[in-house]
Amino acid sequence: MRDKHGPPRRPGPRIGVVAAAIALTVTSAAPALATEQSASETGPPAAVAGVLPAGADVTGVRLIAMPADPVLRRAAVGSTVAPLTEVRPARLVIKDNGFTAYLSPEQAPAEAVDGRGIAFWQVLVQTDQGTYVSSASLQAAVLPDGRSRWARPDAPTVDQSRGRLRMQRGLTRSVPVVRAVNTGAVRLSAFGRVATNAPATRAGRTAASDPQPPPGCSYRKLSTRVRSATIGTTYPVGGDTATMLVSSSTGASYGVAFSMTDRKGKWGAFKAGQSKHTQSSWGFKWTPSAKSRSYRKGVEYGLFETTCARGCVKCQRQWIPIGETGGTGANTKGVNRPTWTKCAPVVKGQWWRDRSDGRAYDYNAGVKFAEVIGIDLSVNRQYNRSQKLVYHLKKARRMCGSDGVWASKASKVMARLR
Amino acid sequence: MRRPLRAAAAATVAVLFFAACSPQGGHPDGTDGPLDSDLDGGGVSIAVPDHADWPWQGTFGSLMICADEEVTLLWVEPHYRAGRPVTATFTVRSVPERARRTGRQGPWSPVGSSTTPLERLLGQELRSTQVRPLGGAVVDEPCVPNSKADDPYTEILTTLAVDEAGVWIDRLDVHYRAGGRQHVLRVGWSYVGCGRAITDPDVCWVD
Repeated sequence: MRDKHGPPRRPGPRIGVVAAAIALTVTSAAPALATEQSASETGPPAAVAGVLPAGADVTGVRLIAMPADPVLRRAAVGSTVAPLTEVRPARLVIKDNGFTAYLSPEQAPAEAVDGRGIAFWQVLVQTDQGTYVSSASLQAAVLPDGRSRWARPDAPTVDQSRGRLRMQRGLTRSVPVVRAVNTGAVRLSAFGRVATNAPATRAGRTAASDPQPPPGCSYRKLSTRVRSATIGTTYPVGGDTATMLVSSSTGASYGVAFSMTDRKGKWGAFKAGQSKHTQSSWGFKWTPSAKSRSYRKGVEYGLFETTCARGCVKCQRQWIPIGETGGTGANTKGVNRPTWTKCAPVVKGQWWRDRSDGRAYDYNAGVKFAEVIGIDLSVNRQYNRSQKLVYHLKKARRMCGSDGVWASKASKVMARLR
Repeated sequence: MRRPLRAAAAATVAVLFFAACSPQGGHPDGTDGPLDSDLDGGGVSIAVPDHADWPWQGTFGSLMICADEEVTLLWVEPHYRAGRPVTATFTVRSVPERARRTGRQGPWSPVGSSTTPLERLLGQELRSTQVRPLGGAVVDEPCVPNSKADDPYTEILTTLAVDEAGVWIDRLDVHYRAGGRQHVLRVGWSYVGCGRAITDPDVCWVD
């Protein structure tokens, strides 16, 4: 195992995202790295971790902070958003084809951290077999004792309290106070690989194994689309009703899709990447219904094209979620009752979920994007006090959870007759 | 090793009231301790039973607890959003892993909500390997990440005697002792016995 201490450099030289074509997309499980927790106790906290395909030796990791959502939303179609800023991990632990990058939230550029403390990063992983790319939404947070940590977006807060994070240039951010168990590296599992034969561009040529990716990348906004995302499902029974309430949306994590040009400059098919958190403040209550149905909300996506100063001219396109529209809907067609059997009996009354420390509602095909890019994207949403799911039970029922889990903890629940 | 099911009556001893609770011999240090719960935020309400004899009794469960070291439960401190119960009883129930559950699976499930009197509920409707009053109960059920319904579990049952006003508990603080220190586990699950004091239509629904 190698332990690379990168100098805790201030945001400095900008580097490129990738050089050229995506040859393939890999999805790999990312097991915990043995040193992750012990290292995070004494230095900067873990930010991202991942495992590349077997045989690829990791040589370096770069984190590129993206502008916050308001900047991405406000940018006019055809304009280029502010160039990205690279932040070098303060510590990098490498074990064969796996890595964990450590970075203090205070190291993040303040302009990349939104009002809730969430930042979106491009992650470049350099290996002896080429460069891999991925992305991650990270939630800056503090522990009850004040130490800063990274958490997953929507991590449950301790007593709904918030703390102060002192950023660069004297700026501060209000961030949630979270329990240590909800902190740690975001595990990256979807990587795109730069083709081994990068194309010549008008700016130059970049070898896939180039340990220093090209500098000076920027994003050009090509278009926007509003897509429908499923954020919950209910399955009442026996004339009961169910509903969902959103009092002030705290957002969700939606899938990112990316495509790269090949060596001939032809765009490849879009692939599902990691997810990105976005939100907007809005509220809605669906009319209770006795039918099985899914609940939907509108999500605005932006298509961004990456160009770097050298090695990458319009080499990458990404559909990135940049905000919720406040629009809502519901669907009953094709919402079939599951056959979950892990159930707890309840009597006449109500049953609800409104906060989560555990399994989030997740739906791999929740964002309907197939007609645009050929694939649907994922949704991942924590239950929380502003997003509540309610069953009105007229008689004694059983409440059943998905995935072999009791309903009180499951990501999805249904009602069954006794 | 689980002990056999005790008489149900013996399980209802721990009647504790919020007003009567006070830390003894230590300072609770928040939610960070070895005891944890396998329960997310949410809740369950019980509508006033038809032909209820006042006060009526409602039992709530699904509060699964585990600990990575042996802990001793002390008392439960309910936080009331509305109303107060006539009595509140806290019981600890243990259920083994699926392979050791004999007969029908239903009686081995957690309690969502029930209006069956506690003694009958524990003695006839539910199966357990051990039922104990909460005060003094030792818990050593290890915490298993991403536990499933087939795993063994230890469940706290809350039994409320509810009068016409109803009662709404929106948080339970479980006080316990571990490693010579006193701790508190906060659980954000609501237990509601409906009554005239509960007016939120998304908690107590009116026909």
